[in-house]
Amino acid sequence: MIRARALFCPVVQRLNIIVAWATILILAGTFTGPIASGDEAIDFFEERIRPVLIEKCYSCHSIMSETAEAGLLVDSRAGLLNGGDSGPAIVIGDAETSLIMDALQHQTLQMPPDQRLSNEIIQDFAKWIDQGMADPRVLDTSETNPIGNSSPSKGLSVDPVESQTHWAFQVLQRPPVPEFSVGDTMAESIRNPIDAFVVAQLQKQDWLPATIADKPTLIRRATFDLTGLPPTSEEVSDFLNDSTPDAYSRVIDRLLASPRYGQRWGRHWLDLVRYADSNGADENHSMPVAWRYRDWVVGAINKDRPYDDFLVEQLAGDLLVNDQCSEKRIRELLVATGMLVIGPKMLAEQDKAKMRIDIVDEQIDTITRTALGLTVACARCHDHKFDPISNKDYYAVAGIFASTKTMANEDFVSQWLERPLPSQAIDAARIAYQPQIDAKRAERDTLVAAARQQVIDADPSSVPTAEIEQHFSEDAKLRIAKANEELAELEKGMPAHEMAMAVDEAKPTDLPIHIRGNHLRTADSATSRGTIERLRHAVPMKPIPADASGRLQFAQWLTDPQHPLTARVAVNRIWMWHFGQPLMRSPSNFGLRGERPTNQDLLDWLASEWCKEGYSMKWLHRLIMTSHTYQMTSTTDTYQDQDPDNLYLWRQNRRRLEIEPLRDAILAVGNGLDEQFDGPGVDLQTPRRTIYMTINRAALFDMFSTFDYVDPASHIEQRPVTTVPNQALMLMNHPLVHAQANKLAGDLLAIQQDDSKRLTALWQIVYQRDPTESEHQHLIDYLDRAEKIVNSSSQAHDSRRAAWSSLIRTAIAASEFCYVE
Amino acid sequence: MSNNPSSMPNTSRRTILRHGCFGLAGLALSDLVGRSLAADEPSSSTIPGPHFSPRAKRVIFLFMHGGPSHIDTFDYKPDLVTHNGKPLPFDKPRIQFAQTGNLLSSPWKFQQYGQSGTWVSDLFPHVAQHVDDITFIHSIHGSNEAHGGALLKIHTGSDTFVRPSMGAWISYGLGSQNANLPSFVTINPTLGHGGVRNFGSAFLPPIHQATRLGSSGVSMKTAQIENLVPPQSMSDDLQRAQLDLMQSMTHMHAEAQGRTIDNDLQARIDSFQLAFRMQAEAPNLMDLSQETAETLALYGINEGPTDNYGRQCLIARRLSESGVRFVQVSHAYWDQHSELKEQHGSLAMQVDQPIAGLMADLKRRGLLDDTLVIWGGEFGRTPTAQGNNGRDHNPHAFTWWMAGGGVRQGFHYGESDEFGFYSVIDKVHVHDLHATLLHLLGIDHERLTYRYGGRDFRLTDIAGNVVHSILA
Repeated sequence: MIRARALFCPVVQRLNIIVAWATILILAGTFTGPIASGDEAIDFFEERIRPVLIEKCYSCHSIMSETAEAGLLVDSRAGLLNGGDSGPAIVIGDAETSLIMDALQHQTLQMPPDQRLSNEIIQDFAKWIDQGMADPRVLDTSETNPIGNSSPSKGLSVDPVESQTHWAFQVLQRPPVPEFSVGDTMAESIRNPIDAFVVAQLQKQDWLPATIADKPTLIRRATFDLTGLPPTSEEVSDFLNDSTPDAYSRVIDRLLASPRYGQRWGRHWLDLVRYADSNGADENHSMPVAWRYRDWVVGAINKDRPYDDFLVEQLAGDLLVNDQCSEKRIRELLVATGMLVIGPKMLAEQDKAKMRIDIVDEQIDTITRTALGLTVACARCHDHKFDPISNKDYYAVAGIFASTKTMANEDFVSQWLERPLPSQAIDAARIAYQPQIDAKRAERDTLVAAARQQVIDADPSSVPTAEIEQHFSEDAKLRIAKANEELAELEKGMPAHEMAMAVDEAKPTDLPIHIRGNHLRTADSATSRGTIERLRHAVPMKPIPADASGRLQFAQWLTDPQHPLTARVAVNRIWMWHFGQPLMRSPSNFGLRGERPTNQDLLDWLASEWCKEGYSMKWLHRLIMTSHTYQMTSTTDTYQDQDPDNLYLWRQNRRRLEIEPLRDAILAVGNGLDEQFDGPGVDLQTPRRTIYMTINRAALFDMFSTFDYVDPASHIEQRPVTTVPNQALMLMNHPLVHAQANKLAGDLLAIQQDDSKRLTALWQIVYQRDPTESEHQHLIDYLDRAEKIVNSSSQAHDSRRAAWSSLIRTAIAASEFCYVE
Repeated sequence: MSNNPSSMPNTSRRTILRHGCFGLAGLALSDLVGRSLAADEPSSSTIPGPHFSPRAKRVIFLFMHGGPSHIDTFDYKPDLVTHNGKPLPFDKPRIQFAQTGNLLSSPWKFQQYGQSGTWVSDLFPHVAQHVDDITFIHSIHGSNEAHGGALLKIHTGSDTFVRPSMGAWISYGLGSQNANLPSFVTINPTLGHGGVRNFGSAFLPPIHQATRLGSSGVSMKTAQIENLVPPQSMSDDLQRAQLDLMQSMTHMHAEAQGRTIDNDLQARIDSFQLAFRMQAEAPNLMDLSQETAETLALYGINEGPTDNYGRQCLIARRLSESGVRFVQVSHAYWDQHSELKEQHGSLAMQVDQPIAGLMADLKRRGLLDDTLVIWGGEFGRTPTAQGNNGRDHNPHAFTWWMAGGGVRQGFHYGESDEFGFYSVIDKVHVHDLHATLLHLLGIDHERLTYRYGGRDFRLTDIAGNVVHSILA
């Protein structure tokens, strides 16, 4: 068991000697106050003061405590002198004005909080302070600052050497590809440089990579991988019958050209950016146009939008709009920024200042984990405990998003921003429609004028007043009311602008550090908008103009080809979605506490090549999928004991289908999948691809959470894979499984003449292979047995179809259907 | 112990993590079939708790959604009567949900009950009969004045970030007492105000999320756990045959490929066997026809207003009895910004007898000793009036009570001010409640951690003190 205490301040172990020495020197240098000289004063401290500090104060105010309450550390002289949020705790030689005395006496502050110390002890403290505060403790917590600190940021808690040399913060270098001579036994397993890196590592273990999987396995793997659907029987037989050397790479090309590819890989991206169709959080309002962002993602991936553009557009698309942009382009650029708006928000938070900074925090958390693989949001209250991200860095980035308009208003229940999308067609329709409204309004005005005149004519002495309408004739009133109704109806019929969740620029604001993350207590001076200092050394960020939020500069900085993290993080994820496991196994944490990549040379080579190839995702898919490494079998029979997690990539990984391909495959085998693209979310009963199901953050479909898509309110770095009985219950009992199985049973019975042919057809549909001989006999026996069971139950109807249906359900529930080998 | 068990030969660490919590790790199929793990037998070494001897083995959380008024139920304020209509003599909070006016006395009379002389309003005459079994905490305070934030705070400890709910932490910490049942069930939860997040597992393994029975507004007579009941055409025999077939198919496929069945595939087969048994056991627990007429009457079942919550409570008892660790029983909607008297009156009527019935039933079955019953809402209400007959949200002071499993009997802890606006003496934060709850279950809240995104998380974040004074 790791002690909790160590968890939250895991600090001391790494106290760097150099820093400690520097600290002592600094201490010595700043050493000024008068002090009662000699051992006597030290003895007094040791006997009367130190035990009290340890017993009464250290649990909340020391380097070893979980928190440095109020930013105050009392386990060193410097800590006391620097003080905490309320200022220095001690003024040497002046107990009266020392804040610590106020607290000990339980005046404006009360410390210890539970019980006031005895007068005797309090007098000891006064004496100690008045006599010069002798304190031999050398640990200077304010400079090494391991716990996080108060404002202003005093420097980083992390080891500076380690953060300098941390692999992921180094500028990308393209490692040389390991060379193998033609005669080498391994050469056969090397189809492209990926394999060379993998085999070079395996060779060190004296291991051999697994062989290439058979063709049915390959096409099933590739098709699920790129499209999230099983291959059709025709696609399988085409591939099996194609003996040309490039048969496989043509399959890859075909799959990459399929629009289903964007649906599959778009969904991966949506995991990272916590896509949903409702707010969740406190007020679960529907986000009725969130889907435009979802469809933008699918479209951009299908068009192979280079990753740098893809990112920049989501962060700052609105700022790229210019006169040259087509209407379509402007719409895309606005919709792309929906990424910033779709997060969960506490809309009914009545402290609107807190709501604002919480929204900024949520954006920072999502963006930095997604694109940088760093947990920057950890630095909201204090310097990051493990990574070189300071409290100040956080507010430099926060300023950018605080200068961005995400909310339309700050009403009691606030509303996020939606922006109208330009559309000449709709504008034209509106213009064409307007005369109808104008005509009706004129008609109404004529009626009113006539009615007024009627009143005046009847009594010329009456002056037209506001109340004149009360004197209208009943007939006139009726006619006016009718005209008003018709006008309102017409106005409702005005073609509406199409809206998208999107951001806008707000008034540029630099934020001060919020002391301990508290928006009500801020530092005196603001932090200039910018980015993480430590990473800016590797990649400079363009200056942010005074009249801009800085989103564009931040996005450009993020996608600079020199950036040490962005390409590595993305390549690692793409690898993960091809292999089930990433090369670096904490894909959203590339910080000092992250894992080491299992093959850093491979990761770096891929990242630098990808950058050179213009960040084309399709290029990367092709490279990965045509490698020997990707095409290996998933056999666990060789090195499983030595390497159960397959860190060395000696095989492919068996992968459980996520809920999306699983549900889609169930629909596909029943031939019931409606392949309509795009549009607002639909319910689970609609037989469309699962990416189009409404994601309600407060009431997620049970089917999703059962299959490990649990939390659409946060960035998901990797879907967990669990095996729980609720999944079995769903596969056994869900109406979708029953309906699709029954449908397929009907089709098989109608189309094929005998059970043997039906079995072969079924096995092709669900598993893309023929049944083996032993399976064949077993399955026929099962059908007979199932038919008997069905007949013996009271509701026997078409018992053969029921037996087939039962067999199909079992085939769907079986591992071979739910896993990709 | 952390959530990172060391690797076992031939088994990936992740495999253990995945299956461990449902008691599958290392158990052969033959061990599992027909066997339900006995209570108190932690099923796997990967379970992080308990850290010390527990006082309670299970929790029933009676959650009153909307924010029942503490000063009209269990926190008696005679000064409110004398100050009725007068201004509050001290400042109102900086942030308020709505504007309120002057002090408003309670429309209900209070009486003293039991040996403890506990004051209870006329809203809860049945629960009042049990005050000598109860610890009341009058000084609870949270930090969010809106329903959503307050619900999330109560359930997950955070109104800012996505965090696992307390039931999920308890499931993670203690595992299930019955391998055929989920360890965390929530009955009729609201799907608003945080919805699933209030009973979700966030970054904990999904097995720890609550299994949901119904949702707010769904009648208990028809509520079902999703997918638990097979379509009518499906006989047990047929399903049994399918499971057999699936197992042999898995073996034949592996054989054809010259492989053995590995842990992942075996665990999967096991999970189907478990599901099959769950399907047999769980609907039984929801079948109240097995209870006597006397018991049904005790809970107020079949008696108008008390019927639905009575059913919820009785199902909760049946689930608890069968080994479910954490059962939440929600009731809505105690949010009386106006018409306090009418609405609180009818809401209390719906729950008073069922809750008292649950207490009596647990007691006579000897279950109250190690079952912790908790009652409370997401906040209390202001002593100042909203409009002329309502009260606004008040997260600054409210009352929860606990009974059974390890808490003192007939005891009161903490105080709010003379009107009940702020918690003033022995303040108990939501984090302290969570720490205390875990403590009663034998878990040190500082040691129940889960590593996610590079750091270790706790239910109590970096706060929480066990309220030792309320422990028996």
